[in-house]
Amino acid sequence: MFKSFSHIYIEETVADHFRTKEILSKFPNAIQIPIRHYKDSFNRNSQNFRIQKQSPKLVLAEKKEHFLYPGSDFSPNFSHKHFYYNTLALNCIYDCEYCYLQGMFPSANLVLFVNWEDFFTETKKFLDVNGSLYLALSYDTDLLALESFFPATKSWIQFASTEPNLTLEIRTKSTNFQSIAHLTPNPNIILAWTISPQIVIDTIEHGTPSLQARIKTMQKTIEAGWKVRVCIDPVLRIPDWKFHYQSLAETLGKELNPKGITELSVGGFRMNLDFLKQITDKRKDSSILFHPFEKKDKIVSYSKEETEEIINVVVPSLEKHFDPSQINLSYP
Amino acid sequence: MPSLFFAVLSEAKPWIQKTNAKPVHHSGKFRIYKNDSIYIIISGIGKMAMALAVSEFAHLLPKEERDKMKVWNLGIAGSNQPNWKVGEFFWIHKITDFATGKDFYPERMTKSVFPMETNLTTFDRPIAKTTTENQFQVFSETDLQSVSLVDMEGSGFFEAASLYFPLENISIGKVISDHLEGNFCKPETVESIVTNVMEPLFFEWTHPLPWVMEDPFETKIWPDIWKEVKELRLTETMKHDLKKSLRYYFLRYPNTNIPMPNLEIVPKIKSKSEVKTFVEEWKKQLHV
Ligand code: SF4
Repeated sequence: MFKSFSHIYIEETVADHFRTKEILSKFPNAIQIPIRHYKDSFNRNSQNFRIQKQSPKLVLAEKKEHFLYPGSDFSPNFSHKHFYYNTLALNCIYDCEYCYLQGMFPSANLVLFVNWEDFFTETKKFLDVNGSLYLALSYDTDLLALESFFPATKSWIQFASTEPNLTLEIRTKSTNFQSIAHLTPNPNIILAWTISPQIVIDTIEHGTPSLQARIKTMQKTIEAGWKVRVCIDPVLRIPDWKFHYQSLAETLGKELNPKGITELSVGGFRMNLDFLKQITDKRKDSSILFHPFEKKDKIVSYSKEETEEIINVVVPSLEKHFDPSQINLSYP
Repeated sequence: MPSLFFAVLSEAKPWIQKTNAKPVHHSGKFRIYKNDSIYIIISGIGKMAMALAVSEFAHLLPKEERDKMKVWNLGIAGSNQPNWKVGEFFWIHKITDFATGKDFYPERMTKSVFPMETNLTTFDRPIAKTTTENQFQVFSETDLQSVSLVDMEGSGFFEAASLYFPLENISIGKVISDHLEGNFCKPETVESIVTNVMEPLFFEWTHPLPWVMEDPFETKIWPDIWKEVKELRLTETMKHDLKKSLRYYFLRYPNTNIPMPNLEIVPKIKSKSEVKTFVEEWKKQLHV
């Protein structure tokens, strides 16, 4: 599900693009505003991310450069030599209190780049030069959640079927698997679900599907023959967190076929210090963001002891149901 | 308190009468009217005058007040759309400054009873489609192809307002007064056009911004605590960290009283290291 957008800003160069027209046809009531460059609107000063999030607008644009970015230190590289990500969209339809996008982008509006073919060309060039690529596809957004009006996940899965040296990770909280269910499973594609205890979903991951719905979707995906990664990341030290995360591990053990899981990755909350400053300036109602974090090299995270405690609680709970070799720490 | 900018008195007059606002005596150049709950500002014609009026007004207010203030520009505009009637009201979602070619994007955040929106082009001189004795600058149909509404203040208002006010608080609305025939509008006509759309706009303008909410920690809890420990002469960093820790406890245990140290010892704390220990001990209680 997605909110309807009241306004859609359209870069003049993509006004006639077939994908622009397809997207616009899904929002017949939206007011269309021609715009020269998406940054003229997206990068304006003194926007308030929180306020805009209440009524986000859509921006259709053309990506002209930077079709691949090297992966960030905050994300696990899963031992890949060439770990990159791309940004087909900026921002997300969900509203998680811990989301770093709130600190990274000046605007909460959702930018969609419609020129996927240029992304494909650049990715192909990279593969030709470097031989392999691990590409995180859903990085500054939740791509699968946009599939009903921006079917990029489907196109990338189709693209990957022609590029055997390309590994894709598509990370999501969405339950929109049915939109790609008809495609042939590809062992080079990892569909990764971020999951949290239901209490976190209810109080912190605003607008996202329930835990049950995510588990059901993961199970369907496994049954369809896809590789599934489960990300319990970030683990949050909410009140009674041990109980909630232990119960989560129990539920996963009971309801998922452990053999179908490629990997479970576990990590505590961490963030770039500057992003956190930006966020706490605007989001003063979220206790998880005001935790007395440890600061190191411009990164804030739970203290060493707290992180160890998280690992010592979550990992053994998972090991009751899953093989230890399936469990990975995504950080540190 | 909301504020409202007009270029000329005839646009502002119905609003001044309705609100019973009185002129504010201040040392500035622009006319500011006020009552207990609103401001009305008249800038004079042109984008420069408007920008200066916004800036002068903004400097009279503390930032905290500006951050909560709705700031609007309303006024008349010429229309290049023959099908749109005199008296129709439009919200503006894009402004082009004709002279510089710069575009601005006021973002519509709230719903209005006036559903129509369009773009506005701000010119430095009055413009017309045909030559008249008034010597307006004449533009052909082709020149005006992408132009919808025309005024002389919009870009100045928005560019200046966005320097001092949060973008989400700023709105521009225009009511059509003519179709670029090259004639000046009579003040009585302007007044009547403005009056016709005033009631619903007044309601929307005076309705508080839905996202401005009180933060009880900022307005009540922290000031009360600060009063008690001010004497400690904390450094800015210590003050900031303590405030953060207090907020953490407040958010995490909303139904519990915030743990307080023994405040009786505060006057006896003298050395920097004693202050540090006092604060660290307190923070430990908050970080549970
Ligand atoms: S789903 Fe991911 S990208 Fe979307 S708001 Fe939540 S954390 Fe951010």
